[in-house]
Amino acid sequence: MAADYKIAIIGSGPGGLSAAGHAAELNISHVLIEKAAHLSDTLFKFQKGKFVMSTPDVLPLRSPMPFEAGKREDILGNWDDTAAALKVNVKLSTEVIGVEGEKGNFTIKLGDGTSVTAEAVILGIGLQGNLNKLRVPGADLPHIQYQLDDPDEYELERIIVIGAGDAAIENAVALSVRNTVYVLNRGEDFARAKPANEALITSAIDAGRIQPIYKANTLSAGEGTLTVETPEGEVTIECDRVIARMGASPPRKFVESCGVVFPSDARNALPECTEQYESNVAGLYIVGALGGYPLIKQAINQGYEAVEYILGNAVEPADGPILKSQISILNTDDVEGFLKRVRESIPIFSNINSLMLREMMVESTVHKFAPGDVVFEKNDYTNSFYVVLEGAVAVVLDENDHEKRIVIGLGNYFGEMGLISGRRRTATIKAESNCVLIEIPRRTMIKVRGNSPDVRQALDQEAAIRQIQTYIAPDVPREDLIGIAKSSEIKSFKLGEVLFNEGDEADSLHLIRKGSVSVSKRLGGRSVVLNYVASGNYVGEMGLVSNAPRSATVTAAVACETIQIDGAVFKNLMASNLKLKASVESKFKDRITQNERASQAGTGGGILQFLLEQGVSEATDVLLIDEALCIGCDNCETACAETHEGISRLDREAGPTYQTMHIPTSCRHCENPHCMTDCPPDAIKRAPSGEVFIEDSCIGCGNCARSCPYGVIQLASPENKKAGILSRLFAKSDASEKAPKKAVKCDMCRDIEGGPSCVRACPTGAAVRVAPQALMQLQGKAS
Amino acid sequence: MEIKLSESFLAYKGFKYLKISVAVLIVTLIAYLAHDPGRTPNGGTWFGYTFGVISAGLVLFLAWFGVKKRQYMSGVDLLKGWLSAHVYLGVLVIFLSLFHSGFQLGVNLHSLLWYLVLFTVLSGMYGVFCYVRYPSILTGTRQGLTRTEILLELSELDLQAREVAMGLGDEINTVILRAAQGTQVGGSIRKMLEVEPKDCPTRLALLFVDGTSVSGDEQETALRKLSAVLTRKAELLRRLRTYVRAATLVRLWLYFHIPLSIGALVALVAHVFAVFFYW
Repeated sequence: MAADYKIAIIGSGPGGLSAAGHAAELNISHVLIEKAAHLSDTLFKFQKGKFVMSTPDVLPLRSPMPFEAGKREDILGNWDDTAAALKVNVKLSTEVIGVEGEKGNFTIKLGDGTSVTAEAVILGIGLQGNLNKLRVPGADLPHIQYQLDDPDEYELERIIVIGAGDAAIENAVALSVRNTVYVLNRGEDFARAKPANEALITSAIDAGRIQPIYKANTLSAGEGTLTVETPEGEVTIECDRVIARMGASPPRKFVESCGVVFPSDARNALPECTEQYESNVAGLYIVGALGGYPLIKQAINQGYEAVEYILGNAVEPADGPILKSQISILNTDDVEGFLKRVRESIPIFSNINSLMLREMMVESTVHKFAPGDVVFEKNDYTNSFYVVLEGAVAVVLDENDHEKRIVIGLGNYFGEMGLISGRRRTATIKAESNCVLIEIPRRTMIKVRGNSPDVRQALDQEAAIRQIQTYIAPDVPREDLIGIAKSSEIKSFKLGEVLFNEGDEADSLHLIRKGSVSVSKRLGGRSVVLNYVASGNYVGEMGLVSNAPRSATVTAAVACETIQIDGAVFKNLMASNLKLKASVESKFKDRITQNERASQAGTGGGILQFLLEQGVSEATDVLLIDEALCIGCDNCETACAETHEGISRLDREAGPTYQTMHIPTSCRHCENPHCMTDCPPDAIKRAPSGEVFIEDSCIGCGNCARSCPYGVIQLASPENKKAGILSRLFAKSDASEKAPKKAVKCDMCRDIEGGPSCVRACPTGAAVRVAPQALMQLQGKAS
Repeated sequence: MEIKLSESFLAYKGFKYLKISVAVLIVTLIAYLAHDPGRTPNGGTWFGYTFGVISAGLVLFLAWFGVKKRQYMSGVDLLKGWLSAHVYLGVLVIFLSLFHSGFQLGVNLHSLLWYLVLFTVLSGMYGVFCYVRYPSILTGTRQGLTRTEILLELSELDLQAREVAMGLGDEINTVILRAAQGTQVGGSIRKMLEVEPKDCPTRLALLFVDGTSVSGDEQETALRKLSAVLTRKAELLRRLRTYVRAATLVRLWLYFHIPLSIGALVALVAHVFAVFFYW
């Protein structure tokens, strides 16, 4: 008996819908079964008006279903229209309760007791159909809900949001505008959420718009109440509504009932599939989030490809053409062969999964260099990561002495310091022989490092060795450093956290690899900042050299990472290497002199302290105004607006002042820009010369503005080109034509000859731009 | 210990334009004294013409500053360099134009030009004085607060005063209400220049409150509190008005300097025209 359909598709999310659309356009008999009364339920349940991203941007879309970044409503509308136009055979409001049979003859049992048969099944049911629900008495009461469609529907209600993830935060913040909102958090912070959301909820809590209840567990729900266990005891909260956003997990029972096997018992484990998305049940394919592809665009492509595989066609993966063009420089189009070569010849990538490797390669660039070519220059602000796929490169230690160089060969990598510190390149790299390099953008590499513990560990250890070699012991052979690196520890310090206190026993040395620290001492009963030490330097050698307790307190001036080297191990190393000993001792003497001068100077510490408190130590270029010269004409702001679409990116008057030094609200181009941490379209970039700027691809989401601790990013619509005076007088004003809002900030006038217009336009010379490192070192030396 | 990060427009490039101006003045003065025109020195000799052309060129250059200041997109040079030149060469032009005319001054169009230039330069010198004198006052009075923050604090104090006054008599309430609603900072030029105006409702309210006596502990406490709030407000107002006065003065001279300079330009055109067509 022939089956009813060639392909049955369960679930009409991006993957399923795309598969059905492709089957429809090929005129293949198919059925699309959806539990909800509309297509694509997960997206349907997104918050109203939510902006949906189309990452990975470079991946081309191959499907009859259109998709580009946009509002939830537009995307759903397009899909409905396309499904209708293609005459997709869809059964809405139909639940699937089981799948039985085998390739060529599957029976899909439906909720109404009927069933359909199909030769192949595509399972695209995602995870959101199986939201984690409260498992407490009263969980089925009507005032408890698990999603929020339109936050504006509710007004003047008391609402409890349960959860600490992105969905919970987005809901709570949106609701807090018109309602009293409590957030129940099982933990003590919101670190699990995206940084921008964490900032969003933290500021809402600080402002009193949302009341958090930490370490809280829901015990039961009653009519209009929720009872919660907190460290202070049980509380019953009266409320009009409870919104529980506790994530989702695979509908494991159902999937297992279809015969699919899960590799582990973990709650979030996903079924294993072949590269063709086929599960252990032949003929049953899994696409989308359930198959481990959480992004919409990936799922859409998978739907298309799964149909092709069912038809027995070989399909080149969607990223194939991109990868081919990436490697065309090597005169080959064998993508698989190339990826295999990457995996085999570059040890740090030997264990990452192929999806991640492909994604990484799509975003990377393959370069060929001839001997002597410069890969990057010392002091560039570029921060990409390089691996050597063929040949070798050399780190130039002395521009005038060709012999002084370190060769980096096949399979090795360089540029990793940029990943960590965000500082300028520490050395020039030149090609040693004909070589092939893969350049991986910083953001991509950080993602890979974050997702792969192997990569992380390998990078961290090698980075420690190289940093110790570069900053402390350039003359010590590498072999001697391996042991040091192994016995050392990477430590993180939050702003204001103390590395060690004055009077502590000196048992270790800290090499600062990210951020900066301040050195202070108690003088006359108060703490005086003596010095500022930036990344790439070490602290703590004084106690080791003099065998005395710590002579000063060292505090993180911004969030820091240090390599903590054991004191005894370091002393041994010094004993065996006289050059190192001499260099550390000379540093020790410099420090004593410097600290002594600074403590005598008195007021100097004040201004240093002021600068550190204002976070200037993490800046690379800061605008200062000398209030002894500023006449308040605001020509700086006018110049900024005139050169930047009518919007000034600096607020002269706002900002702190110490004596006559004023720090206006203006971008400081941080070493590790806070704004960059969570930009969905990756529109914030750092130019080789150091300026951080926002590209036109900005979508105006405001994440950067919330992440910036200095409040220097605004969301504004660029003004239309200034009209002439006559047209301004006579033309009707047309305010409705304003462009959508985008994030704007100082770009140091990177496109304007002559540099920052604020400084150029200052008539009295009050406005100056300085690199804080230079400023603070100057401060330390002057007396 | 002080770090010199910034450099004033007056000291631009080690007083480059001051040095140039002084050097030019000395050389031209010697030339003027050494030169014997053979008749009464005047603008019509070759020597006079030369100085006339130089002076006219300088006046045009000085006026160009107004355009330069607004050219935000073009030019790689610093505006403070231009201002430095503007200041020192501006003073120089007074002398060069005297050498041009052979110190002949009378009551005519030509002398009018010189007087206009003179007063433009004098107003500019006063401007330089303002630019040196007022920045520290502008900063000092704000004490790290922005104008908006001071205004917010003022309205906060008004609320406090009205709250405290609730428990006191009607008369006091009327005075406090007037202090809250009628106190004004700035307005007319005269108001902007006054630091402690006699008719300030807040000042009057403070005088009134301090001159009132009440009976009962509660009322006395309230009165003392009210006096404290009003004293704070008066002090804040004094600071804000000092700021406004400085901010006004730092700009006010421009209302003389610019019209005078435009007048000088017009007179210059008339002077040149007259000289070539009617002499």
